[in-house]
Amino acid sequence: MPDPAVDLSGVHVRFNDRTILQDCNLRLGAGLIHGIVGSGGSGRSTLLKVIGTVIPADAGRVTILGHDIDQCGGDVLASIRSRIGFQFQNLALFDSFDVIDNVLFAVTGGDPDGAEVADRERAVELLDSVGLGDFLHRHAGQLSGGMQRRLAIARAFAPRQAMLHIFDDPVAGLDPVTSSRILGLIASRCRSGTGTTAVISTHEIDALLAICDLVHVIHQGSIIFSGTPAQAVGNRQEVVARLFRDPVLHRG
Amino acid sequence: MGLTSNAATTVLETTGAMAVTSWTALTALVRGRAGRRQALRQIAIVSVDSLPVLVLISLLSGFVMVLESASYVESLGAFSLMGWAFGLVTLSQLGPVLVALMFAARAGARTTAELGAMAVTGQLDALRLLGIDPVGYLAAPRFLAMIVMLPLMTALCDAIAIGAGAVGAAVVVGLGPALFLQSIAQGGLMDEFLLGIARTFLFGGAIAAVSCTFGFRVRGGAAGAGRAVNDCVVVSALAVFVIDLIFTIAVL
Repeated sequence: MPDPAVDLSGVHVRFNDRTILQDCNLRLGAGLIHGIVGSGGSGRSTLLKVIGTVIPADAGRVTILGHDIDQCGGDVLASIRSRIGFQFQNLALFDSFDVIDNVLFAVTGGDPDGAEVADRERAVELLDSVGLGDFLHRHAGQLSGGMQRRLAIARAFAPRQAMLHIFDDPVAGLDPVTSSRILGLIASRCRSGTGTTAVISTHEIDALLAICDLVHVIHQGSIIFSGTPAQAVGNRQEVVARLFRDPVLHRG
Repeated sequence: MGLTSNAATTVLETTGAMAVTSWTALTALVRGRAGRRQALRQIAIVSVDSLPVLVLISLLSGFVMVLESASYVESLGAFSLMGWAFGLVTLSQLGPVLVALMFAARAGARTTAELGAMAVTGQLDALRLLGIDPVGYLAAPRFLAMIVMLPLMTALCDAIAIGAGAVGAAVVVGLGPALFLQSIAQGGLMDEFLLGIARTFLFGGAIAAVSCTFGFRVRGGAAGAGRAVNDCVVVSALAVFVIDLIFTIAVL
């Protein structure tokens, strides 16, 4: 396996006395597309937020893009975050901004007013790629749910220095054709030779198996399986086998 | 004992959080990090949001004060002092405090609701991931807008209340508007006016600190946002009266 872009060791996360992640160990090789699979309430979104440095671990070691997060000062942490593109499960769009400014915000690192021509071209190209090229100046809050999701995906690709892309349910609520197109877009962008690492969590198991290099199964806050899609499908562990045999039953 | 201790802890914790918010926002302002477009947008919002109700309150309070004082003025025959007394009360205390309370209820509550909604929808996390400190980025333009606009709106409301008072005095006790205004102009009330305006800078800063802090600390979805807005209005009003008391003691 290539050097890991993400290395979690013995990570615990608790919310209000409820354990969400416990003794979670996960290594994500750089330059690969990783799928995170688990039933509802298994801790997938929390795991992605720990990887994205959105929430800290209560215990354990979190190493992202070569940096131990616990040991990072504010500037280093900001630098790491500038290399992460994150699509939140609840999208977290800036709903008072229009569509292009949401993407420009990520392209320019928070200064859409100072965007240059190249920044705008990049933003427009990203929005075109997700089918929002005709809605550049519509307010994000006025888009349909599916369009908002596509905007969130475009924004996740926007940071210029991004080396780690995280997608939390990128195709939830999208029709099958658009889902397939979006997952294909994510795969093609991540394989475009820039060496970026992608982490995708979705219930679209078949589509995920088709685009991922490695699949990781999370159950009750711990990773219980890591392997190739073929190994995942052939795995005999009951929880893993059930997830891949009947994924619809395990949607969150 | 336990309840008192908890209350004291909450007060200290909230005061500390407001101090941190204020410091971060004012530092961002001094360093020129409040985006021009954001600042102008906030100025427009707090003005449009607050001005109609402030104008109405000023007109009504002007009339009410004249009605309340009319019987005393007539019984004492103190017509020449009516404008002066009206101006003294309006410029030194009633105008600044009343405007600040309404401003807290409109602009302050709106700020808490807006930032709270951003908190619960993950927009603050999205900002952090883009390497932007949400406190500096979002609070700085709001501090600027409130600190600049509250004194301006107070001055305007002082003028409107005095105009309403002059009309009211003419209607209720038959005192000509020219005499009413002359009594104010010759009453040496410039110091009261300036001190009244000076305290509104502090009121604006306090309302900004309270509303931003309570907005950033929203947890627990819509119910949490509702509680925060309510708390914002109550604590802002309390802060206005405490500052008013300290300021009055200091200048007496």
